[in-house]
Amino acid sequence: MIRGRSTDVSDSVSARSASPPARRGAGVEGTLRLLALAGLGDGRLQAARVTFDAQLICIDARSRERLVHLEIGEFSPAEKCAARAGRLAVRYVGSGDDRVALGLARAAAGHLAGQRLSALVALLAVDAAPALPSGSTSASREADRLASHHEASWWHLHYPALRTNYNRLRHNLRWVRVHHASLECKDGRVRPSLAATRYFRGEPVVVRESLEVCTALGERDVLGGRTQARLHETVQGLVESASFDLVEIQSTCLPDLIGDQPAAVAGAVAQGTPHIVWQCKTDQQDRRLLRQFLDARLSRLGASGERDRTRVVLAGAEGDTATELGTWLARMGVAVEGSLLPEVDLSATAAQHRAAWLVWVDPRGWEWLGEEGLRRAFTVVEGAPPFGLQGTLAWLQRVGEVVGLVDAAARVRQLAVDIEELRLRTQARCARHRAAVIGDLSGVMATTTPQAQRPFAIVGLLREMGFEVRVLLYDPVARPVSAALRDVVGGADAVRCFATQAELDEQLGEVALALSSFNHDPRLAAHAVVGFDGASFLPGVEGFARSAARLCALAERRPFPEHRHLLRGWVQ
Amino acid sequence: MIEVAVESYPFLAGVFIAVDALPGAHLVVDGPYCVAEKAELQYCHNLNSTLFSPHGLSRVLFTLQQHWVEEVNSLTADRTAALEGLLRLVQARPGVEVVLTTEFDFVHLTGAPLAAVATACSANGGPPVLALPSRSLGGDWLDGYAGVLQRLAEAVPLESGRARADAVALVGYFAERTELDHRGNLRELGALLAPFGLELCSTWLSGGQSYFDLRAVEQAGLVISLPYAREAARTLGRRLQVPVLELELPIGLGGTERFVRQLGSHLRQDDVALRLVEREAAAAVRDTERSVMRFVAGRRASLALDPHLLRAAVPLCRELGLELVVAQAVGREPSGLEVAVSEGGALDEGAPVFRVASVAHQGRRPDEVPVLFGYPNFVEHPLSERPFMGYAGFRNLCEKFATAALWHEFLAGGQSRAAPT
Repeated sequence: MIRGRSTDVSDSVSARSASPPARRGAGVEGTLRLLALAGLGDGRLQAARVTFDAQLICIDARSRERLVHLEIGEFSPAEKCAARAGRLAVRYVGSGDDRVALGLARAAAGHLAGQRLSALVALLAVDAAPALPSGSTSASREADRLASHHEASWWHLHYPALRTNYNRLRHNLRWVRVHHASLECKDGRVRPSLAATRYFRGEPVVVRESLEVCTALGERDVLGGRTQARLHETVQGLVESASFDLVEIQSTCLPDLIGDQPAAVAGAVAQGTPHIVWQCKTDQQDRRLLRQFLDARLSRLGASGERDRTRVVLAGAEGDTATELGTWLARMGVAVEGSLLPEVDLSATAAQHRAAWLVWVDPRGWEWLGEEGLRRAFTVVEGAPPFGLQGTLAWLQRVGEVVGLVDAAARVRQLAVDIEELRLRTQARCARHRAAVIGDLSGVMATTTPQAQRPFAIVGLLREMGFEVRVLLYDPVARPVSAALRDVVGGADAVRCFATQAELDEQLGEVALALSSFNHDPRLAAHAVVGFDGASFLPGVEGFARSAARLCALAERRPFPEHRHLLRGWVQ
Repeated sequence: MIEVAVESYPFLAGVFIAVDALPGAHLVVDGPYCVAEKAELQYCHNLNSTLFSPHGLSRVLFTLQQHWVEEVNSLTADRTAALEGLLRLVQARPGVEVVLTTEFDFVHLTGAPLAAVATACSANGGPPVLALPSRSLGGDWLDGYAGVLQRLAEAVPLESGRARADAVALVGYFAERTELDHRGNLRELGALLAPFGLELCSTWLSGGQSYFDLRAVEQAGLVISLPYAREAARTLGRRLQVPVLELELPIGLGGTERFVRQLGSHLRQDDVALRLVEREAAAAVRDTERSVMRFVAGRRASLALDPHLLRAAVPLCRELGLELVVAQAVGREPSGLEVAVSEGGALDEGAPVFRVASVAHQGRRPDEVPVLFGYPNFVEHPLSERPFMGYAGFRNLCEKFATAALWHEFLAGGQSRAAPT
């Protein structure tokens, strides 16, 4: 079942026209109806968001396998599409051999045959969010937000991040990345280890496990037609000077435009070792090369013969979280054989694990890796990640059932009794604080359900922790509060509407915590309100308790307790 | 000899710095979405940056927005209409005084009509649109900053004949952020001018003066050219028909003295310069000698700074009794700059070396004492005036070196040293 959608419509200016099109975020009803019509409402998607305008419907979704971005429109025959059905066509963005996206696109096209785009748009409009001045559906928060124009989004505080853990992979390969780029595309980015200075909250600290070099193309290279030669020299030099397992060439817009062919360089240099893969900025089908390489390495992690169906390997967890969940599973009677990702042995030549099962703890950001290799090494356990007490218990029961514990439910019930005191203690402390979720209806609703970027409902977790949740709802036309919203936030009293900056400002004076994606949000700073986002919530029972305790501590230690009236205002 | 720069920042980085330092200026880049990611460097460096706002308008915009992936077709498509539309959109925004527009390197290669579009938009009224052709392939960040100032110098409406003998303009000041280190610098520069009876009427750029405010330069009877925008200073001098005096950065005792003496010489007030130097240098030496002698001198230093800061930092190191082992320019090698670098072994070989560089050029080596200086600085955001220019700046730099040395020694010695006995 599709459990939610997000409507964070970008207000970036599109280059397609001088007057950018407005793209709206679909509501719950519209989303579910569209997905049902498109044949995607059968459980294949775990979460989805739909945005649309008169020419295009975009679906950003998390399938069981990975994130996908589908577009439905009346594309011309010259435009490349995955599948066509009458006037409509469906395309996806990403690798050309993305069988998951291709399957979804074809399924959608098959079901939508005979439909018209205008009818689908009308269907989506039934409970759509108001249009923002301009729109895109980019999956990159940077593209969506950092560069956005925010013409009318002063009420918008939460922009979910769709990040990749590309630079967090801790591996043991001798891996060198070659950036085929000019100085402009080589540098100018922030050192991510200083997360507190960045625009968005919670940007991951980058652990660079790979050597990086740049061809540093200059005017002479371009005018002299030597750009590909520079790449060849660089790669040749690397291959001759050191023993690498993998050379990854990342080409950028400029050499792509000139027509450089990394494939030709790889062919001329490679003699089997090192392995050379490449991806061009303008043709991300090449990404399959890296994925194929990693899939092959990941597939070696599991036993090739008989696997132990009583044992599991955790994925997407490390440190305290991996330890804690391993302990809970052990108490359930499930044997845990270690964890994978972000650390992984990619140089292994023999199987590292006998376990039959791989269980994701936090899959966010690992979609780029592809699961082909992991699926060859293990059977991947499906299910919602262990966030919140209820979510963790459900996850434990699911794992128990998968490995064949006949009394998994009973064991989980006993665990629930064991953690009851912790739950009550946590809720008693959190109940003293009010946490706000702010935005328009669709933005707020997106926090009440799991999302592609965040596999849990923020409002649900806050309520489970015991916080008083206050929804500050931007509603310039003063509509009645929807029943759906009332139900998920705990009644109409929890919802306060605002239409002006001054009204929002006044409401912010009554909360201690607020959901915001910014490291420094002047709206919150004006009241010393503490910001938090999806990254503030950790998986597991201890993670739940630690997350709640930290939010409480932040609320209890808000700065300038006696001088908040002197803080700088933000209202224009 | 100076080590040729292998690390620098791109052209656009300098453009972002200039736009951030010019309130009321907006930037439209004909290029893809990663423009915004690149501009975040400046946001992290400048705590007071207004390039982006969570609840307001972004001052950096781009034309080429694709989802997930660029395509050769989109890169090569004619985006004239899109660029023009975006420029007009920005022109219509409230509070916009000037719109700068530039382009990515590959856009430049395709011969996009940037200047023509800018001219057409300007002709329709509203805030002027100034085109800045890309120098991403042949230049770097310093070209980007100087390029913006040059376009401003050409475009700001000016009337000559309004000059005052007691007013001076600084052109080519590198306002890389609007924090209190630079406010302190400007106060220091004003303090160096005051004894000559001069008042600073305009600083290009200061972070405080908007495009309209830049017109105050027409009051200047003298343009002092600082090294980050020499050509812009010459342009203004020509347009205003006032003399231009090229000076280096007043950093360190010697650097500040040269600044003051050359100014005094130009004004035929050598006696004023001499009195100022004697008084202020004596006070600065008195205030710093204990710290320098005990904690700083006798060590070695390696530098990685932009060429203009580097030119100033080399004699500063000599003043502090430091032996220079490496000097690296973060940017194009300035002509005429030669640095004698020790062959090593003369001073306390094996002792920690001051690494005088920005955070981006700190090696995080245990045998280095990091002294953060130059762009970018994500770590230090002063909350009281902390100039690094002039005599007050010399005091701050000495303090910075001494604190770094002691802190490094403390950490290397472990906690036992700090524990009470």
